[in-house]
Amino acid sequence: MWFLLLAFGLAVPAPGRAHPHIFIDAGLVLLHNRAGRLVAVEVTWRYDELYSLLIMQDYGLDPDFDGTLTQAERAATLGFDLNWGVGFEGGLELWQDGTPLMLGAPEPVSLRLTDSGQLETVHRRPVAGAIPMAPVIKAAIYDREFYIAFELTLPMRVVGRAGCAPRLVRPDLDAAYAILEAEIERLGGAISAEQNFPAVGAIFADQVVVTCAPA
Amino acid sequence: MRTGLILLAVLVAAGLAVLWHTDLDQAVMRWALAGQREAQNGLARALRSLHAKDPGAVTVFLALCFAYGFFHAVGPGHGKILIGGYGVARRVSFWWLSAVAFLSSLGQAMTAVLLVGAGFWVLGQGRVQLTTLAEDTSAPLSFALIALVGLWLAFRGARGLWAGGAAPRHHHSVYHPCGHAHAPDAAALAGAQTWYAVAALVGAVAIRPCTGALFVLILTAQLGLFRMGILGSFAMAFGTASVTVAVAIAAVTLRKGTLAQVPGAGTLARVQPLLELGVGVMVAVLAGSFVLPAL
Repeated sequence: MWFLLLAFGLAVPAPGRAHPHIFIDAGLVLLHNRAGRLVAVEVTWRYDELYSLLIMQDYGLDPDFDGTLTQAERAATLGFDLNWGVGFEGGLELWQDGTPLMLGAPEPVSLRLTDSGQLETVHRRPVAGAIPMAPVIKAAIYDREFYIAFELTLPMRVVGRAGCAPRLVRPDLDAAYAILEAEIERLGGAISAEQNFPAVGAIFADQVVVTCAPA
Repeated sequence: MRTGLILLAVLVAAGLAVLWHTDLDQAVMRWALAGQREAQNGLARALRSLHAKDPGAVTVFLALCFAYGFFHAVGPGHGKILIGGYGVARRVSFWWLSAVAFLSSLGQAMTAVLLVGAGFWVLGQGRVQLTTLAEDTSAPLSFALIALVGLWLAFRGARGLWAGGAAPRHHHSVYHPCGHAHAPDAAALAGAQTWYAVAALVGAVAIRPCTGALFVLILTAQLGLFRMGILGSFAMAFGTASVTVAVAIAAVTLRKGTLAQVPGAGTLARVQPLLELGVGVMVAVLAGSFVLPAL
């Protein structure tokens, strides 16, 4: 009997065990003010080619298939992906020394079509609650429902502050599942998928850890 | 035969155990995810080639659809819980369950074609409405039907246990309310694989079209290549079927191997309904956990 249970173990749903339909490569620019305080973040999303094609068909972009967008097309489509609803609010989370930072509403910055036929959009969000010269800033982007698979593989930059080194940390799924189990234990094992599921999505996601030298 | 079955089942089980206890299952998931991503990007290029009427574009497009279906089905969904559970719980043959798995994949493609055919061409609906319909309505409905099949299995198992436990005591009794004097025998169980079992299993899976197939169908409809989209959807279905048929075969092997270890027909009569009950409850709980949040 034991191996029948095993067979079912493989079918058990858990975060990171759904299947996505949109793939987004993401990148971040951390913008600091003169005091070295993180005040805004610019987020780049590069969509996979199929979803890019879907969006272009939806918006009637590039009808001649020459791989370039006109100024008017770009202007008309800018911000198409910032109309977030309940359940997905941009997917970005930021922490400073382990404390979550507040992120404001997104403003569109740019939209372009890459040579590989991928739509790439940039939006900017204000950041509140950061202290000047924070030694460590951590960022993660993920979709709780995993309809979108984010990877933080585009360039990561720090602007307005010197001596910062970003490092991409891919999720350690074993450790992540251990944390999830501990969280479920802590909640008394009474979990329903929506109401009180532990907010642990970030540990299943790509993270960027930015370590900065003291000024 | 018996030793061979046990050996085969142990091999399948060992394979699953290795997957589960090492990081291999995660590696498989990552591999499948990376494969799907590659196939998805390739599909966009193939669609552009099709649109430009490049020579050889059709073959590449269909091959990528197959690959997409395969990688996608390695992830969760596509009726693997149902097919696997049913194969473990009931006395079905490889052939029967493989055919059901295959038909349910084809059925998914058919649903996608009908949905986009009707939604896009007749009702003039766009991508967002169609994919929302698939995700918010068809998906919970599919899981609800799968949960019902699980409950039905559990009910049959419980009834079998009841009959099996009662059989020795009532063996010589004249009156048998259910019409069967003995524990469910192989012939009676095998005889239950009727058309409605096929319809229930295929229907529960097929009611939910794959979003990937919807993407391709909508794009081909917009690009004036809808016939290619239909072919592509079925190529995807062949890809998903290659995985679900493998699950069907593994499930039947596991059950046969497990039961081959059980000595004596009397014990067997008790173990079979126990399997049905256990697996039925598991399928119902697993599938039900997907339905509840949607209510």
